[in-house]
Amino acid sequence: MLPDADMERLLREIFAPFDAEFAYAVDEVTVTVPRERIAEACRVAKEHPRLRMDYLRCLAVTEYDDRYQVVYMLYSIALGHKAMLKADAPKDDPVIPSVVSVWSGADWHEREGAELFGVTFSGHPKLEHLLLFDEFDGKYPLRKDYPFEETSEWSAETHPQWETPGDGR
Amino acid sequence: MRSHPLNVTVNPKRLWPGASALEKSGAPGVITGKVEQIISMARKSSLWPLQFGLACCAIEMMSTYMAHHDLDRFGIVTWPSPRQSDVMIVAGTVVKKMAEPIKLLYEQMPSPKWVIAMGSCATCGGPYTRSYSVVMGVDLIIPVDIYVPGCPPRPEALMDGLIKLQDKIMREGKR
Repeated sequence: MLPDADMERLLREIFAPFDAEFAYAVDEVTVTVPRERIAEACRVAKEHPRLRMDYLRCLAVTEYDDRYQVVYMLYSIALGHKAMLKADAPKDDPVIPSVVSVWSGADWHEREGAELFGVTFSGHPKLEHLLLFDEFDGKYPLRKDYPFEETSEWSAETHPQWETPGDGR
Repeated sequence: MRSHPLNVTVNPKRLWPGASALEKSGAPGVITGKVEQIISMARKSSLWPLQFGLACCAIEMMSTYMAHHDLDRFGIVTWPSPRQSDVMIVAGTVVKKMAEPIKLLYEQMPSPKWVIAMGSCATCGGPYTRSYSVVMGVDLIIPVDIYVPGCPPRPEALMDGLIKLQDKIMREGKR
Protein backbone atom coordinates (compact mmCIF):
# COMPACT_ATOMS: atom_id res chain seq x y z
CA MET A 1 0.00 0.00 0.00
CA LEU A 2 1.32 3.40 -0.97
CA PRO A 3 1.67 6.31 1.47
CA ASP A 4 -0.69 9.16 0.67
CA ALA A 5 2.00 11.42 -0.74
CA ASP A 6 3.19 8.70 -3.12
CA MET A 7 -0.38 7.96 -4.09
CA GLU A 8 -0.96 11.61 -4.88
CA ARG A 9 2.20 11.76 -6.98
CA LEU A 10 1.15 8.64 -8.85
CA LEU A 11 -2.35 9.94 -9.50
CA ARG A 12 -1.03 13.32 -10.63
CA GLU A 13 1.21 11.54 -13.08
CA ILE A 14 -1.48 9.26 -14.47
CA PHE A 15 -4.35 11.75 -14.59
CA ALA A 16 -2.26 14.69 -15.86
CA PRO A 17 -3.80 14.50 -19.36
CA PHE A 18 -7.33 14.56 -17.91
CA ASP A 19 -7.44 18.23 -16.86
CA ALA A 20 -7.98 16.97 -13.31
CA GLU A 21 -7.97 18.64 -9.89
CA PHE A 22 -6.46 16.94 -6.86
CA ALA A 23 -7.40 17.20 -3.19
CA TYR A 24 -7.53 15.20 0.03
CA ALA A 25 -10.66 13.85 1.67
CA VAL A 26 -9.57 12.75 5.15
CA ASP A 27 -6.94 10.15 4.20
CA GLU A 28 -7.81 9.63 0.56
CA VAL A 29 -6.64 11.44 -2.52
CA THR A 30 -9.51 12.66 -4.66
CA VAL A 31 -9.29 13.31 -8.36
CA THR A 32 -11.94 15.53 -9.93
CA VAL A 33 -12.19 15.15 -13.67
CA PRO A 34 -14.52 16.77 -16.23
CA ARG A 35 -17.68 14.74 -16.56
CA GLU A 36 -17.21 14.06 -20.28
CA ARG A 37 -14.06 12.11 -19.46
CA ILE A 38 -15.12 10.27 -16.32
CA ALA A 39 -15.77 6.92 -18.03
CA GLU A 40 -12.40 7.14 -19.70
CA ALA A 41 -10.74 8.05 -16.39
CA CYS A 42 -12.43 5.10 -14.66
CA ARG A 43 -11.19 2.79 -17.39
CA VAL A 44 -7.65 4.09 -16.86
CA ALA A 45 -7.95 3.69 -13.09
CA LYS A 46 -9.02 0.10 -13.52
CA GLU A 47 -6.53 -0.94 -16.16
CA HIS A 48 -3.39 1.04 -15.39
CA PRO A 49 -0.87 -1.50 -14.09
CA ARG A 50 0.15 0.72 -11.15
CA LEU A 51 -3.43 1.53 -10.07
CA ARG A 52 -5.49 -1.60 -10.86
CA MET A 53 -8.63 -0.28 -9.14
CA ASP A 54 -10.56 -3.51 -9.62
CA TYR A 55 -13.18 -2.84 -6.95
CA LEU A 56 -15.74 -0.02 -6.97
CA ARG A 57 -16.42 0.31 -3.24
CA CYS A 58 -19.28 2.72 -3.66
CA LEU A 59 -20.78 5.18 -6.07
CA ALA A 60 -22.48 8.13 -4.41
CA VAL A 61 -24.30 11.22 -5.58
CA THR A 62 -24.01 14.46 -3.60
CA GLU A 63 -26.04 17.60 -4.07
CA TYR A 64 -24.34 21.00 -3.68
CA ASP A 65 -25.86 24.43 -4.17
CA ASP A 66 -24.76 24.71 -7.76
CA ARG A 67 -24.13 21.15 -8.94
CA TYR A 68 -24.47 17.43 -8.42
CA GLN A 69 -21.30 15.51 -7.76
CA VAL A 70 -20.86 11.81 -8.44
CA VAL A 71 -18.19 10.19 -6.29
CA TYR A 72 -16.50 6.93 -7.27
CA MET A 73 -14.77 5.29 -4.30
CA LEU A 74 -12.18 2.93 -5.65
CA TYR A 75 -10.13 0.19 -4.09
CA SER A 76 -7.49 -2.12 -5.46
CA ILE A 77 -7.81 -5.61 -4.07
CA ALA A 78 -4.64 -6.57 -5.90
CA LEU A 79 -2.49 -3.72 -4.59
CA GLY A 80 -4.35 -2.75 -1.41
CA HIS A 81 -4.67 0.99 -2.01
CA LYS A 82 -7.63 3.29 -2.47
CA ALA A 83 -8.58 6.60 -4.05
CA MET A 84 -11.61 8.60 -5.10
CA LEU A 85 -12.72 9.89 -8.45
CA LYS A 86 -15.22 12.71 -8.70
CA ALA A 87 -17.17 14.34 -11.49
CA ASP A 88 -19.51 17.34 -11.40
CA ALA A 89 -22.77 17.71 -13.27
CA PRO A 90 -24.57 21.08 -13.47
CA LYS A 91 -28.08 21.27 -12.02
CA ASP A 92 -29.76 22.20 -15.27
CA ASP A 93 -28.24 19.26 -17.13
CA PRO A 94 -27.54 16.41 -14.68
CA VAL A 95 -26.10 13.86 -17.08
CA ILE A 96 -23.02 11.73 -16.42
CA PRO A 97 -21.58 8.92 -18.52
CA SER A 98 -22.26 5.49 -17.06
CA VAL A 99 -19.38 3.33 -15.86
CA VAL A 100 -21.24 0.03 -15.94
CA SER A 101 -19.00 -1.05 -18.80
CA VAL A 102 -15.98 -0.62 -16.50
CA TRP A 103 -17.35 -2.13 -13.27
CA SER A 104 -20.62 -4.00 -13.68
CA GLY A 105 -21.18 -3.47 -9.94
CA ALA A 106 -21.94 0.16 -10.74
CA ASP A 107 -25.28 -0.93 -12.18
CA TRP A 108 -27.42 -0.77 -9.02
CA HIS A 109 -25.51 2.19 -7.59
CA GLU A 110 -26.30 4.21 -10.68
CA ARG A 111 -29.94 3.16 -10.68
CA GLU A 112 -30.24 4.26 -7.06
CA GLY A 113 -28.54 7.57 -7.76
CA ALA A 114 -30.79 8.13 -10.74
CA GLU A 115 -34.06 7.50 -8.90
CA LEU A 116 -33.17 9.40 -5.73
CA PHE A 117 -31.30 12.37 -7.23
CA GLY A 118 -32.46 12.45 -10.83
CA VAL A 119 -28.96 12.21 -12.26
CA THR A 120 -29.10 10.51 -15.64
CA PHE A 121 -26.32 8.04 -16.28
CA SER A 122 -26.08 8.04 -20.04
CA GLY A 123 -25.26 4.67 -21.53
CA HIS A 124 -26.67 2.71 -18.60
CA PRO A 125 -28.33 -0.47 -19.95
CA LYS A 126 -31.51 -0.29 -17.81
CA LEU A 127 -32.00 2.91 -15.85
CA GLU A 128 -35.20 1.97 -14.01
CA HIS A 129 -36.37 2.21 -10.40
CA LEU A 130 -34.33 0.08 -8.02
CA LEU A 131 -35.70 0.83 -4.54
CA LEU A 132 -38.75 3.01 -5.15
CA PHE A 133 -42.06 1.60 -6.27
CA ASP A 134 -43.08 1.97 -9.88
CA GLU A 135 -45.93 4.44 -9.34
CA PHE A 136 -43.71 6.94 -7.51
CA ASP A 137 -44.67 10.52 -8.29
CA GLY A 138 -41.79 11.23 -10.64
CA LYS A 139 -39.88 13.58 -8.35
CA TYR A 140 -36.53 12.85 -6.77
CA PRO A 141 -36.87 12.48 -2.99
CA LEU A 142 -33.26 13.07 -1.93
CA ARG A 143 -33.01 16.43 -3.67
CA LYS A 144 -33.03 19.42 -1.34
CA ASP A 145 -36.07 20.93 -3.06
CA TYR A 146 -38.22 17.81 -2.75
CA PRO A 147 -41.66 19.02 -1.58
CA PHE A 148 -42.18 16.99 1.59
CA GLU A 149 -45.27 19.07 2.45
CA GLU A 150 -46.95 17.63 -0.60
CA THR A 151 -46.07 14.03 0.28
CA SER A 152 -49.29 12.09 0.18
CA GLU A 153 -50.19 9.83 3.05
CA TRP A 154 -51.29 6.51 1.70
CA SER A 155 -54.27 4.71 3.15
CA ALA A 156 -57.12 2.51 2.08
CA GLU A 157 -58.90 5.71 1.01
CA THR A 158 -56.23 6.73 -1.46
CA HIS A 159 -55.72 3.14 -2.56
CA PRO A 160 -59.12 1.46 -2.88
CA GLN A 161 -57.48 -1.87 -3.65
CA TRP A 162 -56.50 -1.98 0.04
CA GLU A 163 -60.08 -1.76 1.24
CA THR A 164 -60.86 -4.74 3.42
CA PRO A 165 -64.23 -6.35 2.75
CA GLY A 166 -66.30 -6.09 5.91
CA ASP A 167 -64.09 -5.70 8.94
CA GLY A 168 -61.77 -8.40 7.71
CA ARG A 169 -62.79 -10.92 10.31
CA MET B 1 -59.60 -25.82 44.24
CA ARG B 2 -59.96 -29.11 42.48
CA SER B 3 -57.97 -32.24 41.83
CA HIS B 4 -56.27 -32.60 38.48
CA PRO B 5 -56.28 -36.03 36.74
CA LEU B 6 -52.54 -36.11 37.31
CA ASN B 7 -53.14 -35.35 40.97
CA VAL B 8 -52.02 -31.73 40.63
CA THR B 9 -54.09 -29.21 42.49
CA VAL B 10 -55.36 -26.59 40.07
CA ASN B 11 -57.25 -23.42 40.74
CA PRO B 12 -59.13 -22.65 37.51
CA LYS B 13 -59.32 -18.98 38.42
CA ARG B 14 -55.55 -18.73 38.10
CA LEU B 15 -55.32 -20.54 34.79
CA TRP B 16 -56.54 -17.83 32.46
CA PRO B 17 -58.38 -14.55 32.63
CA GLY B 18 -62.09 -15.19 32.47
CA ALA B 19 -61.77 -18.71 33.83
CA SER B 20 -63.87 -17.70 36.79
CA ALA B 21 -66.82 -17.51 34.44
CA LEU B 22 -66.54 -21.21 33.82
CA GLU B 23 -68.71 -23.31 36.03
CA LYS B 24 -67.25 -26.18 37.94
CA SER B 25 -68.64 -29.54 37.10
CA GLY B 26 -68.95 -32.36 39.54
CA ALA B 27 -66.33 -34.57 37.93
CA PRO B 28 -62.67 -34.00 38.87
CA GLY B 29 -60.46 -32.54 36.14
CA VAL B 30 -63.42 -31.47 34.02
CA ILE B 31 -64.45 -27.90 33.41
CA THR B 32 -67.59 -26.77 31.71
CA GLY B 33 -68.52 -23.50 30.05
CA LYS B 34 -70.00 -21.90 27.02
CA VAL B 35 -68.65 -23.37 23.81
CA GLU B 36 -67.44 -19.94 22.65
CA GLN B 37 -65.32 -19.67 25.75
CA ILE B 38 -63.86 -23.14 25.33
CA ILE B 39 -63.02 -22.32 21.70
CA SER B 40 -61.48 -19.02 22.76
CA MET B 41 -59.34 -20.89 25.29
CA ALA B 42 -58.09 -23.16 22.53
CA ARG B 43 -57.43 -20.22 20.23
CA LYS B 44 -55.52 -18.12 22.70
CA SER B 45 -53.47 -21.06 23.90
CA SER B 46 -51.95 -21.83 20.50
CA LEU B 47 -51.41 -18.52 18.73
CA TRP B 48 -49.26 -18.97 15.67
CA PRO B 49 -47.78 -15.67 14.47
CA LEU B 50 -46.87 -15.35 10.83
CA GLN B 51 -43.11 -15.48 10.56
CA PHE B 52 -41.88 -12.26 9.01
CA GLY B 53 -40.11 -9.11 10.09
CA LEU B 54 -39.77 -5.74 8.41
CA ALA B 55 -37.10 -3.80 10.29
CA CYS B 56 -35.20 -3.55 13.56
CA CYS B 57 -38.30 -4.48 15.61
CA ALA B 58 -37.95 -7.94 14.08
CA ILE B 59 -34.71 -8.40 16.02
CA GLU B 60 -36.56 -7.84 19.28
CA MET B 61 -39.31 -10.15 18.07
CA MET B 62 -36.79 -12.90 17.32
CA SER B 63 -35.27 -12.34 20.73
CA THR B 64 -38.73 -12.83 22.24
CA TYR B 65 -39.08 -16.18 20.48
CA MET B 66 -35.67 -17.35 21.70
CA ALA B 67 -34.80 -19.18 24.87
CA HIS B 68 -34.42 -16.20 27.20
CA HIS B 69 -38.02 -15.07 26.84
CA ASP B 70 -39.39 -18.21 25.21
CA LEU B 71 -42.82 -17.57 23.71
CA ASP B 72 -43.24 -21.34 23.28
CA ARG B 73 -44.40 -21.56 26.88
CA PHE B 74 -47.47 -19.50 25.90
CA GLY B 75 -48.10 -21.84 22.98
CA ILE B 76 -46.92 -19.12 20.59
CA VAL B 77 -44.93 -20.65 17.77
CA THR B 78 -43.94 -18.85 14.56
CA TRP B 79 -45.25 -20.27 11.35
CA PRO B 80 -43.78 -19.56 7.91
CA SER B 81 -47.09 -19.70 6.04
CA PRO B 82 -50.10 -17.37 6.29
CA ARG B 83 -52.47 -20.28 5.70
CA GLN B 84 -52.06 -21.72 9.17
CA SER B 85 -51.30 -18.49 11.06
CA ASP B 86 -53.53 -16.72 13.57
CA VAL B 87 -51.56 -13.58 14.40
CA MET B 88 -49.67 -11.13 12.26
CA ILE B 89 -46.97 -9.29 14.21
CA VAL B 90 -46.10 -6.27 12.07
CA ALA B 91 -42.58 -5.75 13.40
CA GLY B 92 -41.08 -2.73 11.69
CA THR B 93 -41.47 0.07 9.19
CA VAL B 94 -44.18 -0.43 6.58
CA VAL B 95 -42.97 1.23 3.40
CA LYS B 96 -45.33 1.95 0.55
CA LYS B 97 -43.65 -0.66 -1.62
CA MET B 98 -44.25 -3.30 1.07
CA ALA B 99 -47.85 -2.30 1.76
CA GLU B 100 -49.36 -4.44 -0.93
CA PRO B 101 -47.56 -7.69 0.06
CA ILE B 102 -48.58 -7.12 3.70
CA LYS B 103 -52.17 -6.64 2.65
CA LEU B 104 -51.97 -9.80 0.57
CA LEU B 105 -50.49 -11.83 3.44
CA TYR B 106 -53.22 -10.59 5.77
CA GLU B 107 -55.92 -11.60 3.34
CA GLN B 108 -54.35 -15.04 2.95
CA MET B 109 -54.66 -15.73 6.67
CA PRO B 110 -57.81 -17.62 7.66
CA SER B 111 -60.25 -16.11 10.15
CA PRO B 112 -60.14 -15.63 13.05
CA LYS B 113 -57.01 -13.53 12.78
CA TRP B 114 -55.45 -10.80 14.84
CA VAL B 115 -52.83 -8.13 14.15
CA ILE B 116 -50.25 -6.70 16.52
CA ALA B 117 -48.60 -3.43 15.45
CA MET B 118 -45.16 -3.64 17.05
CA GLY B 119 -43.22 -0.43 17.57
CA SER B 120 -43.65 3.20 16.62
CA CYS B 121 -43.31 2.71 12.85
CA ALA B 122 -46.07 0.14 12.53
CA THR B 123 -48.22 2.15 14.93
CA CYS B 124 -48.03 5.61 13.36
CA GLY B 125 -44.99 5.92 11.11
CA GLY B 126 -42.74 6.72 14.06
CA PRO B 127 -39.70 8.82 13.17
CA TYR B 128 -40.54 8.72 9.47
CA THR B 129 -43.21 11.39 9.61
CA ARG B 130 -43.74 13.16 6.27
CA SER B 131 -41.57 10.58 4.56
CA TYR B 132 -41.82 9.99 0.85
CA SER B 133 -41.84 6.22 1.21
CA VAL B 134 -43.40 5.18 4.55
CA VAL B 135 -47.02 4.33 5.33
CA MET B 136 -48.04 6.25 8.47
CA GLY B 137 -49.08 3.20 10.46
CA VAL B 138 -50.12 -0.25 9.36
CA ASP B 139 -53.68 0.45 10.56
CA LEU B 140 -54.18 2.45 7.38
CA ILE B 141 -54.01 -0.86 5.53
CA ILE B 142 -55.27 -3.60 7.84
CA PRO B 143 -57.24 -3.56 11.13
CA VAL B 144 -55.00 -3.70 14.21
CA ASP B 145 -55.90 -5.29 17.55
CA ILE B 146 -52.93 -4.48 19.78
CA TYR B 147 -50.45 -1.62 19.59
CA VAL B 148 -47.11 -2.20 21.31
CA PRO B 149 -45.28 1.10 21.89
CA GLY B 150 -41.50 1.47 21.84
CA CYS B 151 -38.69 2.03 19.40
CA PRO B 152 -38.11 -0.84 19.34
CA PRO B 153 -40.20 -2.38 22.15
CA ARG B 154 -38.34 -4.65 24.53
CA PRO B 155 -39.23 -8.36 24.43
CA GLU B 156 -41.16 -7.90 27.67
CA ALA B 157 -43.33 -5.31 25.97
CA LEU B 158 -44.12 -7.63 23.08
CA MET B 159 -44.91 -10.42 25.54
CA ASP B 160 -47.24 -8.05 27.35
CA GLY B 161 -48.90 -7.23 24.05
CA LEU B 162 -49.42 -10.92 23.30
CA ILE B 163 -50.88 -11.53 26.76
CA LYS B 164 -53.19 -8.55 26.21
CA LEU B 165 -54.21 -10.18 22.94
CA GLN B 166 -54.97 -13.42 24.78
CA ASP B 167 -57.14 -11.43 27.19
CA LYS B 168 -58.89 -9.86 24.25
CA ILE B 169 -59.55 -13.25 22.67
CA MET B 170 -61.12 -14.46 25.91
CA ARG B 171 -63.26 -11.32 26.06
CA GLU B 172 -64.38 -11.97 22.49
CA GLY B 173 -65.48 -15.44 23.62
CA LYS B 174 -67.59 -13.98 26.41
CA ARG B 175 -69.72 -11.90 24.08
